[in-house]
Formats: sequence, C-alpha cells, structure tokens
Amino acid sequence: MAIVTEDFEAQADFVAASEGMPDVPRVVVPHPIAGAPDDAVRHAAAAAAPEILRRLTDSEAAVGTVAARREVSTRTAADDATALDELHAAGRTDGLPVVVPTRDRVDALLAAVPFDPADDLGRVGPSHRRATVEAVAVNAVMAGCLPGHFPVVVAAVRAVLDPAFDLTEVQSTTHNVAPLIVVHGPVRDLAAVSSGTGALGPGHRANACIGRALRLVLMNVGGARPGISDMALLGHPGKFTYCLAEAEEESPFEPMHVARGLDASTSAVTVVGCEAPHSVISVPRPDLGPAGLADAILRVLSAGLGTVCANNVYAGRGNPVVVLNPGHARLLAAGGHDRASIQAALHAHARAAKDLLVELAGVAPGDGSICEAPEDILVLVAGGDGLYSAVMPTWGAGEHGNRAITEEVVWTPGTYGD
Amino acid sequence: MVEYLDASGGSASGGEPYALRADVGRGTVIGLLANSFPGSAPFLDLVADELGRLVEGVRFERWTKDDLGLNASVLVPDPTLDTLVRSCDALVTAYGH
Repeated sequence: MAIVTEDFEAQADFVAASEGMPDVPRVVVPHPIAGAPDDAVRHAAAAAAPEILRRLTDSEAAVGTVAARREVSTRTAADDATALDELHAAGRTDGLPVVVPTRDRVDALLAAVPFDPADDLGRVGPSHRRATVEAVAVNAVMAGCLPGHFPVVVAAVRAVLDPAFDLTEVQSTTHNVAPLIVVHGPVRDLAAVSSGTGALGPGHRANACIGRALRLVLMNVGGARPGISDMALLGHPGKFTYCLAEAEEESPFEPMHVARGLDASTSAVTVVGCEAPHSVISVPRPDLGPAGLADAILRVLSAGLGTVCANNVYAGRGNPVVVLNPGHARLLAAGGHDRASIQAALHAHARAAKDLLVELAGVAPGDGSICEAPEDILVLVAGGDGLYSAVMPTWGAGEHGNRAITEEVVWTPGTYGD
Repeated sequence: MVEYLDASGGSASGGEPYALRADVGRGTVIGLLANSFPGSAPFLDLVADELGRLVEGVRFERWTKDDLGLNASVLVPDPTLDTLVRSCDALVTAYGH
C-alpha cells in the first residue's frame, strides 16, 4: 500500500490504474511532508498509522485490469466537429483543436515509414502503455503532421524511449522540462523543418507539428496529464511543441550530429529534456578584437548556464544546450574557437560555488559545474543573426541524468519524391 | 458519420486478480520503502514507531529508492520487486513530497 501526500493523490490514482491495480490501498497525508514542521510530521504519522492497519487488514482480494494486449480501437461520431468535441472531452488534446485521426489520414502517415503499424517502439511512461507505430501515427495526424513529418516524429519517439532519456521521470517531475527536438541532416529540407529566424516560434508548420506530435504521444499514450501524472509545477510553452533544425549551412562548425558521431549525410534527431530557452544577449563592443569579442560571448553564455536558478549546477549532470545565432557563431570562430574549445570554455566557467549551492538548497551532489564533461554541452547554431543567442538548462536528474539521445530518421523511399 | 482512431493506443484486455489483505500481528514483517525525497525516510520511521505501538511484535524492513538505485518516479523493476516481496509480508511505500 502507499502513503500519498495530498497533492499527489491524483497521480497515485493514475499510476495505480495504469499498472492495472486501481484498488491498491492508499492513505492520504497532508502535503508536503518534506520541510513540514516536526510536530506536523509526527501528527501526520500518528494519524496515518491506524488507517494503514485498517486498510491492510480490511481489504479484500480484488481484480485488476492488467493490459495484456492493446489494439488501437475506433470510435464513431456524427461529424468532424462532434469528433473534435469528443477528443477534447476525453482529454486527448493539448487544449488546441486537433485533426480528427481517421483511418485514411493515419494510413497516409504510416506509408511514410518502413515499419509495420503494429511494431512496438516501447513503453511510454508514466502509463507504460506501448507506443505502436500506428498509435504514434494517430497522434501525429492529430498534431497536423503531413506524411513527410512522420519519419521525424517516429525518430523522436524512439529517442525519448531510450532508457537513458529517463522519460518516465521527465514526464513526472515537478521541474518545468520538455523534450527539445533538434533535427539534423538532409531531412531538415525534405520535411521543411526551419532552422532560421523564429525557428522556435510560430509560423513553421513542420516545427510546430512534429514537436506537437511528440507531446500528444507523451500525453495520450504515455498518460502525462498536468497535475495528475505530469507534475511540472508551471510547465512551459515548449510542452506544446519544441522542435527546430540546426542551421548547418550557417554554422562555421561541424554539425552537431557529426560531433555526436554521425555522418553529415545522415538524417537524425537529437532529443533532450530542456527548460524554456533563456535568451542571452551579447552586444559586440567595437573596441574589442576577435579574441575579446569571442571571450565576451562565452562569458555571458557561461553566466546564463551556470546559474543557481537551474538544476544543472546542483546535479552536475545533464546535457545543457547552447543555441548560437549565426552571428555569434561567426564571432566565436573568428576568435579562434571551434566546438570543442567552446565546450571547454563553458564547462570551465559556467559554474556556481559549491558552498553557495549548499547554502541555498542544503544539498548539492555536484561540484558546482553544469555537467560532468565539456562534451556534454550541446552546441548548435540556429535562429537569426543578431545580439541574442539562447541557453536551455536541462533537468539533469534521473537515473541516467536525462541524457540527450540521437536517433536516425528513416523513411519509405518516395516519401519526399526521392 | 466519422470513424476515428483512439489516440491512447487502444483499450486494455485481460486481467488478473491480486490480493490486498495481510494478516498483521506478532512476527509480521512490514516493509517501508521511502521514495528518497527529503523527509520520506524519517516520516516512515515515525510511521513505524506508531505501527509498533499499535501492534506488538511487528518487525520492519527499510529501503529507499536511492538505495535501490531508482529515481522516485520509476517503477521498481520485477527482480527488485521479487526481493521486496520475499523480505516482508506487507509493503508500505511513500508517494509524493
């Protein structure tokens, strides 16, 4: 049985039901226990104990529903508008209208990937329901995806289902984290994923739909519901959609996926759990030479990353993200930097004093650095030229530190007229 | 009429019974699994003290998710679950903050 703090009661009900054991006894105590005054904690324990005994000894054998097999079922509505209302009412949307997932629409997406619709991509936490390719296609249709977007969606789903991504924890945490999808290689142009001005803003169909499709999979297959199973205290807009391509042609550095071991001609995605972008301003001083300009950019990026506001300095783990605008990237290159030296400089300077972290939080497992090694910092080029780059601190917790995962994109020949 | 597909991946089928009742008395071993959030283990210690006052002779085994190498929100894997089940007659877990 479980002792559940009050604010987590809905999530506990969800997990119990998801695991096919809805009748597991729960005793609810006030929230929070952590940090509560000693007398309140003792009172809660004293109140809980007799109820624990009663629930353990009074319960009868019960039958749970353990999902032995799941098949995508169908529903019928009078028309599209009614179907949309039903989808909203059933909690199957992100709050915005969706495209009704008819068989024809789903089949059109399924034709774009060389997988059987029943192929199992893995269990999606926190519900641990299985993501078949078909189920992903249903959600991708709802997100507004075209067939050409779907291979990217499938790759993103496979990436988050890698155990090292720690998806269940990412879905459940109170941290405001969302999976960021970075698209690499030829599929960027084939699927029209934007890497330029406003790439993380509205107006780019592929960026919007691909990111949204992943979110709908996480909600509908994974069961992540705000305040019930997705406990992010505030969330952030990236939980609607969070997808962009790297501006490889604008970058003076090797593409990020090449740095991660892939060939430049390989199409892939990298997915990592990130906070919302933190804008970082660096105004080029006219009196500085190339080395000074580059140093100034690195100093402000370090300040943005090494903040006591973010998890990375406390955990000392994760893959923090740096998105350089092409102008800042050129200035760094002119100052003699490449990807490795940028990572090394950031790792050296983006940190917080350990004793300050302990003073603020009581605990700090790391040494004040934002990650374990320089190469853990993900650096890519995207956006428009100007004064602003961006950093995205990451969740950095979980069994594996919520590692960034890179997954190849594959598609059915002919999907892109190829 | 519009026929559309279920976004959740389908409906479940099949089921298996599970027992929820335990006899609690002298010699019963109650397991306590803390979730590793601050205060979780000390709270369960207090719960154990109270249960010990209510039922004479009950014994306790204690674990934390950290000790088991697990994050608070991760399900206990089956091999570890088997160990817990073998070690106690009933298990009380901490859930939340």
